[in-house]
Amino acid sequence: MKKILISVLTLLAVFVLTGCVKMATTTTTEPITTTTTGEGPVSKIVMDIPDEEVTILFWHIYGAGKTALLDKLIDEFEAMYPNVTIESQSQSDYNTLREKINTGIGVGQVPTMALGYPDHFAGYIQAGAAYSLNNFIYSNIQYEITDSTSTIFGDLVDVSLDLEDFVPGYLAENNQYVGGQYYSMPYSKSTETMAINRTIVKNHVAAIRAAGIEVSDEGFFSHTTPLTFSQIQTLGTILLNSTGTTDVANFKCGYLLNYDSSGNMFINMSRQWSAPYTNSAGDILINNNTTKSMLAYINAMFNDRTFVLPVKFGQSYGSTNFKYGDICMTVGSTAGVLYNIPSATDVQTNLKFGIFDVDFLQVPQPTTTAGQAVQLSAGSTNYNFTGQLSSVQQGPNIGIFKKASANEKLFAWLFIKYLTTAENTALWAMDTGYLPVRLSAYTSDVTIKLTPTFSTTYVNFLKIATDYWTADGQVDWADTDERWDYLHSSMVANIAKNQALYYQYDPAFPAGSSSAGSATVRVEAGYCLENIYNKTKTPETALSFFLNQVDW
Amino acid sequence: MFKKSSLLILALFMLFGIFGCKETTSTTTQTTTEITTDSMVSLPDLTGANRETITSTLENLGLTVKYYIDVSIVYESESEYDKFVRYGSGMVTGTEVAIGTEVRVYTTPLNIDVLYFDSLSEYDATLQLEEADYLGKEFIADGYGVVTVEKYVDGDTTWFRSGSQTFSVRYLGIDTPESTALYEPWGKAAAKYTEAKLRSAETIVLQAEGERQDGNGRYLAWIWYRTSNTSEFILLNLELVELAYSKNKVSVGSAYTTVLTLADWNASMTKRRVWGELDPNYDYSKEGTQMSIQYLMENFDEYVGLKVVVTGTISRKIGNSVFLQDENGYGVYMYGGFTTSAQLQVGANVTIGALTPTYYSGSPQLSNFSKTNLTVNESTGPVEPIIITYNDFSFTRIGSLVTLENLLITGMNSAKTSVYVKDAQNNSFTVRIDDSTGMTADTLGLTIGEMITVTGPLSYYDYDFDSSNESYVYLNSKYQLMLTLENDITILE
Repeated sequence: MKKILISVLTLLAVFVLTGCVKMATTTTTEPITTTTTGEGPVSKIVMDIPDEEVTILFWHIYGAGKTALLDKLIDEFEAMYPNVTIESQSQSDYNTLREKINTGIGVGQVPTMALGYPDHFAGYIQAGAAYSLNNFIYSNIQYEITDSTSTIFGDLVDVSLDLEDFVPGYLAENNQYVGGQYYSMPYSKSTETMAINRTIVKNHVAAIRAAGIEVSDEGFFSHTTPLTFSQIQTLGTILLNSTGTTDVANFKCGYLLNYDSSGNMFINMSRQWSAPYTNSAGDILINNNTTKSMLAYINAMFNDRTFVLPVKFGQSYGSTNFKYGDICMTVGSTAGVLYNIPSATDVQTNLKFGIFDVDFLQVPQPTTTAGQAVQLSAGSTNYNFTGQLSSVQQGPNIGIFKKASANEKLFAWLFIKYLTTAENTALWAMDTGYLPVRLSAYTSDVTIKLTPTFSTTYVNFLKIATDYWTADGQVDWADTDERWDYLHSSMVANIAKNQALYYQYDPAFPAGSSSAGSATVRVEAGYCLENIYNKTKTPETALSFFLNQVDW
Repeated sequence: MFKKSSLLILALFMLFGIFGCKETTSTTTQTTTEITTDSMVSLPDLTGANRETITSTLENLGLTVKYYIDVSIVYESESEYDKFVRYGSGMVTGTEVAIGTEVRVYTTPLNIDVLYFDSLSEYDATLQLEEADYLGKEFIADGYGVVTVEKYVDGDTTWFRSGSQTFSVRYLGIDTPESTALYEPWGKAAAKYTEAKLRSAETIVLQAEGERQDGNGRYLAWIWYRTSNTSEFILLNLELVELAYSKNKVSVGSAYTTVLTLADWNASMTKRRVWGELDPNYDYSKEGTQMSIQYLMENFDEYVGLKVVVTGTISRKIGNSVFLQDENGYGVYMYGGFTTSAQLQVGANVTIGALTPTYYSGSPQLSNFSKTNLTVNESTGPVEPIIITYNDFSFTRIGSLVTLENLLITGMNSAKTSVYVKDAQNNSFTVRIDDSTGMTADTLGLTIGEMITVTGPLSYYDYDFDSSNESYVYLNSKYQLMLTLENDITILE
């Protein structure tokens, strides 16, 4: 009898929990969640999906190349939710996007959702304009799709999100804000990798091996273990021409390693050296002995042409001079991979080594094991510090604004979830050169059509490079094999995957009463290294100047 | 005992369930319980009404209104804007709704209220250009200066002349849709509007602010014009934003950022032009019209800016770009930009869709290439050149693989990439060696006075070509032969 009673109680409980709220609703009351603790829902409440006609204004910065795919995803989403219209608007560039929103916040003119960098969202949060996505992430609501014209008619759609599946470094960046709330989710993420002129390396294989660095017959270094700074210096003794100009006959460059972003170089090397930089509270911590030691080392590396910045060549990026053969290696964004590949579109007379082979490696690290004591030397000076593994993660996130109505927020959230499904984040990554934000995308077996004649899973996309590397570059692919078109993108995707374990983010904070915001600090960090490179300041005066610019 | 307890618990649960339901019921449900037949109204026929009328009509019925804009069709006259299109949420004229209901209404895009560009001084007098700002100054040297138009490019770029100097200027604070190598909706309209305004100008003044040049060597400027010497100067950049020919591209730190941002938002709310309205002159189809290369070349102007699908064999390749040729010997250049495709090999027969016909310095070309629109067909064999003479040069031959025999080398440019030749009848033209081939006259061993026979795709180059000039005449002297392969040139004994 007890069992019967328990059964009745259970059934009633189900009825109370589900039946009572399963009513047609057209206007969602806010918020649509029962818990924001992060501990996850205990049970699901099922409701009909709101049928109000909703227009989502989505601001991004994509041009025609990327909006074709974005439009496809929007079409699919609108077919799932026929009452929703996603109005996708490109705002030219991130400065424009941020400035328009910052101006619009004051007069209530903001989109429903937008892309943005962490410092953008930090500003929006400070202005009270950003909406906490925790309201959705930990929601225990399920919506039943009741519109018979929907492509997912009859399905139950979970509002909540399984954060476990996201790349941990990306999540850390997106919940660094007040109270550990998520005000954005990762979307188009990238990192830095190092392109290397393999044709040059191949001509020095014996010398490189003699120096104790592993390299294959065809000039491939390890793709799973990064080169250390010490090894980079050793390579400099082999690959650098003594005069600072390119020596084509002997396969030597005038400069060894370019860093595209001097800001990233400062910030990431600070992490690698365990040198305090900033924190999310907005404290600027650069005035310390480790940072000073690091800058002295970088200065020494500038002086002997081991490191170089694009400013040397009057450029914003090192890709042009890498292709020209002035530089042997260059660290830059994964989103700009193809700019480093010399091709038939270049003025051939500028390519000192012709169309050479390019390989991609992880960015150099001080050590291969985090937390180890490291000693680097330049001349007679030794630099001692605790080495850490670190690579930058960058690229925009996506968030929702508080001003939107409850239903606009709900469908904007469901749209974010749709954009970042394993399949769609993998598709976006292969199509654009950005990186998947979900771990499951890396093992996804969903076939994605890239061209009318070439379809692949993300696993097989990654395999393009690993097959090439395993064969030491000696693959028997036909000239018309479309794997050639995706080889370098696949290389970079593999490298990014391999260094994803030590992604670090740049703490984001708006300007305060006594110090600059994180975006300004980053810019000034870059200027600091450029001042050192240009010899307009010594490492000490450059750091003092930097501090003076951001702390007042 | 159990029975009684069960019933009691059951009753309690039912009560809780009922009251629980009430607490979680949406506002719609609560409203429904209060509805009586007296509180229902029938939605009126609002055909032809504008928003003002729609709002007052519905409010008089005790309804509230939420507006949406329908941009699904092309609107061709100003009188069509701000007009009722339909009700939303499945409602139609005659639908019975409860008083107090929020009714969704779709209208056509709205009329643009001009608030700033022609009365900027009223908004902020400090932003208005005064004669004292530019008199006695020169743009490149001083950052202000009177200029004249040298050449129209598109909506946000123009070549100007200041004294003896001519230079390209990229307009600050805006980013009009593309209309040259790449076509985007409203790009042509923006280009035409800019040209019309500058043609109407009595005086044009450029104002620099911040960075002087962009990464492409173009000067950056605010463009002021006035139509008479007694009128106020108008900021063309702001005018283009306010009239929705361009979105605002924020110029960080500019004095005009706020007004441009406000104008930009107002324009976006109208859904006019770049903000969503369909461009009647843009081809929105995904693939475009399928046609032979011969038909395309014979009717090229009709398809400029639209989309086409063509099939041809790749006769020659320059970088990522290729020359396609059909079975009748008609060819066309397809600009590949930075998109590499292993399938674009000389000799391959391909079908490519969504290509946009356009002009580059007078030479017809197809742009907008994407690998996603490429299919490779069964090979039909390599393209054989057709032997022609100077007198056979014609627009429809451009892009075809041709051979010209017995040409005398009369000169070269300093880079040795342009070889000047003349035929037996003293007709002169240029053999052009593209930079991407890595070849020069020197590497090919060419010297002045030698006789050569050359094979290559026919091209055309006129720096001063103006696609809007319908009476433009193609001159034989401006045709070029594109040399892409070392084996395509023979030095005659």
